[in-house]
Amino acid sequence: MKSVVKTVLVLTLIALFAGLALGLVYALTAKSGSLPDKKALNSLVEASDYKELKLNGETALEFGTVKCVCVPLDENGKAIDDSLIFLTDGNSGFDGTVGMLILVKNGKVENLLCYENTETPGVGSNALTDSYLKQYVGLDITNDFKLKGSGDYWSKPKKQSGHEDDATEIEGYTSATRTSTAVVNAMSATHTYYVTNLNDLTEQINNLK
Amino acid sequence: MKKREIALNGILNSNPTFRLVLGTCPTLAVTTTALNSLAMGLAVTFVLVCSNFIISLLRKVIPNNVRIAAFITIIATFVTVLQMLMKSFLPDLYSALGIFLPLIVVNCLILGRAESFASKNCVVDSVIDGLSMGIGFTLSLALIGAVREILGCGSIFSLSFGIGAPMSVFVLPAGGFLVYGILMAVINHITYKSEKSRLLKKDRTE
Repeated sequence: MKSVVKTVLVLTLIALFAGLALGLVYALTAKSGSLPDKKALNSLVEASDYKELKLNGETALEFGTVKCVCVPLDENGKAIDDSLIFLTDGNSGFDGTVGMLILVKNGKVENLLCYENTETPGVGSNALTDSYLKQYVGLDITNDFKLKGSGDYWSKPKKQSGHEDDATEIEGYTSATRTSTAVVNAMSATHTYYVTNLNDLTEQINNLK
Repeated sequence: MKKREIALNGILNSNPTFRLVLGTCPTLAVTTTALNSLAMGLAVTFVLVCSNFIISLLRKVIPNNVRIAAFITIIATFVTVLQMLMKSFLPDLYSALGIFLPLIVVNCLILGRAESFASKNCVVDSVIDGLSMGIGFTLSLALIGAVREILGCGSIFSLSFGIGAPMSVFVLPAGGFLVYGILMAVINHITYKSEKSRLLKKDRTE
């Protein structure tokens, strides 16, 4: 009995100290805020620095979650222009969510890239390449997005329902429909957040100019 | 065992990669470039030294029947600490090492040294052993990585030579086995020869 108690006690103490050490290191290394890597932001739009804006209102939306909104800054720490960078997770990917970085300027999509994903390499990842994503460039963010043929699409009718009727139609990538859907969902969530919080976002940018 | 002997053991006579053939999985998988190899070696050294220190310190407290569970918990803690530090400060290297970084937890070199040395020897000896084994592992990995990078990519530490066409097979798993096998044969041959001449010299003096 004594040996059992000693065993339990020793293992508990080891686990306790391990937990404490991990918590301490996590507290020291955890990133403050959710600003994406500067390297990824630089490949979207070159700037001296980036300032994370305060997220207001609902960020977990029907088709995805807006995780971060930031503004590119010049050498003096001022906002370069009216550009906004959204980091949005699109729901319903093949293996979880697809994190997209979307550059929006004056209501138009200027550039976009996939920031993080766990889609199948060589299959789902085909719908995350620059050549596929470029169809979004120049589109109006104030309009919703939906996959072409959605609604009556036989295999995924439910996942695509709920988009606005006049939504901009996007070509899906054959064999990567789920990943294409996740990208559309990220764009759709960004659209919803942008339209809902436009005044607040504009005010925050103006304060940085 | 003398401290000098322990210190040299891991680097030469009991080299974990070429003599004990421990930790072969990361050895073959990560050594595609010299930098990755060096990083992996240093990561293993950090975990080895820290886990040997703690295990040796607690060797009289940890009950024998749960020693493996306790060792794994201690090793996993240091690996997770290392992961968090690398993810925060060296993100490129962190993504290059990929799955093999968390897999250090089950690296038989670390568990092997904990079981066979740290749990039976004093703290100072265990730390020296961890350091020596870690340096031996790092040097071996760096050697394999350098040969594979030179032959497979025509560069070393990402600095290109710009001469000839690289043989990309050396970056692939097949090339890993090939380089590992040849280097092991050469090093074992040299060690065997030097051991033989040392014994002959000893015989003559006697």
